[in-house]
Amino acid sequence: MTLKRFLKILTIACFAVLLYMPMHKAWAGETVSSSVTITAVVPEKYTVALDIEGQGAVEVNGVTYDKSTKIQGRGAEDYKITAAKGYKIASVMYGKGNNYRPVALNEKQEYKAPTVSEDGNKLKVVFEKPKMIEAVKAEVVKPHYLVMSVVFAALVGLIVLL
Amino acid sequence: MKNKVITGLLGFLVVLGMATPALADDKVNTTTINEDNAKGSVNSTLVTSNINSSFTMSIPATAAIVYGIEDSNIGNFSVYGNLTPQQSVNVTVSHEAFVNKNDKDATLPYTVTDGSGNELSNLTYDAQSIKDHLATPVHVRISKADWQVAHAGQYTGSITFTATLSNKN
Repeated sequence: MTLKRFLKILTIACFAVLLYMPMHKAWAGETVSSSVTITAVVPEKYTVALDIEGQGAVEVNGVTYDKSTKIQGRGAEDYKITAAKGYKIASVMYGKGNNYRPVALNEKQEYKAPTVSEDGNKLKVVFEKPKMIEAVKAEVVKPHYLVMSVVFAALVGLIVLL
Repeated sequence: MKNKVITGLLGFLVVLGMATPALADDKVNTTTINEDNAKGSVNSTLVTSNINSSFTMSIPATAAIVYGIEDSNIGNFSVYGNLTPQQSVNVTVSHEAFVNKNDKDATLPYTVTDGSGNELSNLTYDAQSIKDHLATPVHVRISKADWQVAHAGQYTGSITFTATLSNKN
């Protein structure tokens, strides 16, 4: 074996040992550190249109809007929707183009929008007076008519008797 | 032929050396330290053991935090090993701020917690907690307000776990 070849093998052996050594052994009392890398991506801000019909408000990022406007958002916003007294939330729609569609609110009356990557998304909220109030009114009125009818019938009966 | 065998063996050693880091679980990074009790015997009546204490520190792997999430669980921290009742592994947890890749002055503050609102800074594992397979959840907490005011871009940060095997006093 020539000296050159021996040195070549020795170099490879040293390389292998150096690669293997740092993996394991350390003495007691010695400090050992290990790190985990974390990453996050913050998206650009985009314009989102708020379209509010009827009486109510939409809260986004701590700001409350009760009229239609345009806001800067990144998607992933929580839109908290609150109807004014005597009104209810009739419908909520969100999206853009073919993806503009009705969305569901959670139990806190919030909608969490997906992350967007372009301008032009719209959140439309329609507030309306509940029809149940009309129905309740009708029910309240009915007994009144009933009483009047009874009184009227009694009067007619009295006139006939006289 | 002999040279080929030697070269092959050395090549195998090189490959072995390079492949060892990949033996760790994909989801965790591990670091092991050993204690070699190379203390001389005091007298002939003492029975000594040749088994050295050692431990393995298991930390979460690289994690990607989703935009807008205030509390993200990135995995668990745990310690395995064969500590004696008189020994403990003391761990300090530190973290470097999220820094915007394109704007070094833009940072995104966060805290490292155990998921119950307690900030992780110091942990101690002893023989009993190792026996009980104690695992500490590691959470990254970023407030909604900090998400909102953060500049757009890619952020990178790191959480460092520093462990020392020591004897209890």
